[in-house]
Amino acid sequence: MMPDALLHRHVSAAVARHGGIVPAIRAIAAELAPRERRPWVAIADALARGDVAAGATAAAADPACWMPLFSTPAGDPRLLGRIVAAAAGPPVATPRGWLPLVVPLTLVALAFGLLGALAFGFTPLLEEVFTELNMELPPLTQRMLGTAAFIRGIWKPLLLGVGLVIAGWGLTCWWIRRGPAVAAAYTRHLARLVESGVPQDEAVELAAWAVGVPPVSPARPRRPLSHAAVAALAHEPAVAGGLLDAVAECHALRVAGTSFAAGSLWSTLAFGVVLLTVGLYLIGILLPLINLIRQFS
Amino acid sequence: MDTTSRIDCAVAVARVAAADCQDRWQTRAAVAYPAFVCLLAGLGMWWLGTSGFPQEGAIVSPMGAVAADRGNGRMLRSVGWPAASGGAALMAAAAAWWLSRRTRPRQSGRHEALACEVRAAAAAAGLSAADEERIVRAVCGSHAPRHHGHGSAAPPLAAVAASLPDPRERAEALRATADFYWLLDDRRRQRRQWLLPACGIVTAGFVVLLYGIAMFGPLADFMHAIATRPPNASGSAAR
Repeated sequence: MMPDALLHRHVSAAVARHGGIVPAIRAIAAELAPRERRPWVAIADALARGDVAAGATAAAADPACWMPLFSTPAGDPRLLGRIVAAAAGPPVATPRGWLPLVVPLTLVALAFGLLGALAFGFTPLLEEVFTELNMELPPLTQRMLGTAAFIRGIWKPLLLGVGLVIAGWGLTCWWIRRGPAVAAAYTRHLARLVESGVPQDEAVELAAWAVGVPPVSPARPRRPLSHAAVAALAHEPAVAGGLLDAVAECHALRVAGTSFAAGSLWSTLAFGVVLLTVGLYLIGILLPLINLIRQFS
Repeated sequence: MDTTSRIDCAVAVARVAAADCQDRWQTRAAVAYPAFVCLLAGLGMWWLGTSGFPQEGAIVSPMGAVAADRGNGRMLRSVGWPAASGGAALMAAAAAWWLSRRTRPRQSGRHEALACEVRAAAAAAGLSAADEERIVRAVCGSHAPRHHGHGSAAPPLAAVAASLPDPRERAEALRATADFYWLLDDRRRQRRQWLLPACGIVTAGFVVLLYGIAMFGPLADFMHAIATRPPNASGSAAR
């Protein structure tokens, strides 16, 4: 949690310095999707009215949007570029982080739909026929009938599914808060703040607050403050800013690599599991039918 | 315009062309798998309808009149409605894709970004507003945003950036604006990259599901007929 005095001081300085950027911020808000406009409209309103209290409230709700204003001196032409990067750049705890999971989840949902349709619609009839004909069933078919009975007792698979979703959600939250995406955003905020002359301890606190993690002491570095970032902080502000940018770039490259690899890996795994499950199920159904037809013919 | 500005314009044009090309390849890659599955499904249905698929009557006749009556011919008749539904789903998907291209050709953001890059290069070279406009028209051609930077139809951020009086400030603001549109375009491309294959898989899965229902539906009826047949309708063939 950010101390109120520190927050008010930085918001007050931002309001005093950056009143002229209001038309551009309103224009950016107008270009964004409606659900993304709110923090930018709040910033523009607070800057236009010179309302520090409203600004502090808005900053507490969306800290990352205020970081360009905190870390850019008055009259710096790079301000618009930094605001643009904050508005349209990849978010930290990304709402689009689920995108690589779309393909594997679609595959799994389709497979569950198919298995459910077979378990409810077709398998009971088969069981009836197999019982009627006193057929000796292969082990695979027996397993398949057991799986179908498990699916038909809908509460167990439902509970299992809910448990898996909760576990996956928890794992995703854990990963996002400790992943390289947060480290990249944190280090970038730190670079801008240090470069603009904000004292180091305040910069570390502000950067942690912007990405929603507890403050980390440079004396005991841990994620998202890496050892490389701590080493960069030992230099002059201008040099430290450049070095921290390079460290942030490394983290960002790791994000791109992991995201693509995770998406491909999960898709391949899901495809294999789905193919195996549905294939075994169908073979389990078809084996006794082939035997039956062979006997009839 | 000096050489640096010209190179900036050329790089922006090449970036737009590369993004357009990537879009086309993404669409083709996403469509290839469902199209292949649908083609196979269509071929299978055509084969079932024309090549004298094992006559069910021959299989079910030993099970007696009831089973033969329920099962005979259903398989061939039932492939018709899934084929029609699958075809309708594919046509609906194609129509949605075509409509999205027709109604949202300018929402990609990359042409706005190109116009901003070109205008920034012209502003950095110290050209007049009229010359900036002329160069934007020349480079962007039919993709140039109408009244870009001066009229009511201009994108808001580009209009704000283009209205700055100082050429250096204007050039800086226009470059930042171009970055904004590039970032928005990257977001859309990232969404397409993951969502298009998922849509393709769903379409293909739907077609396969219909195909499966067409095959298993009559089989289920046939099984039901066997299970509920009169005791004297069959011999002890199964045993």
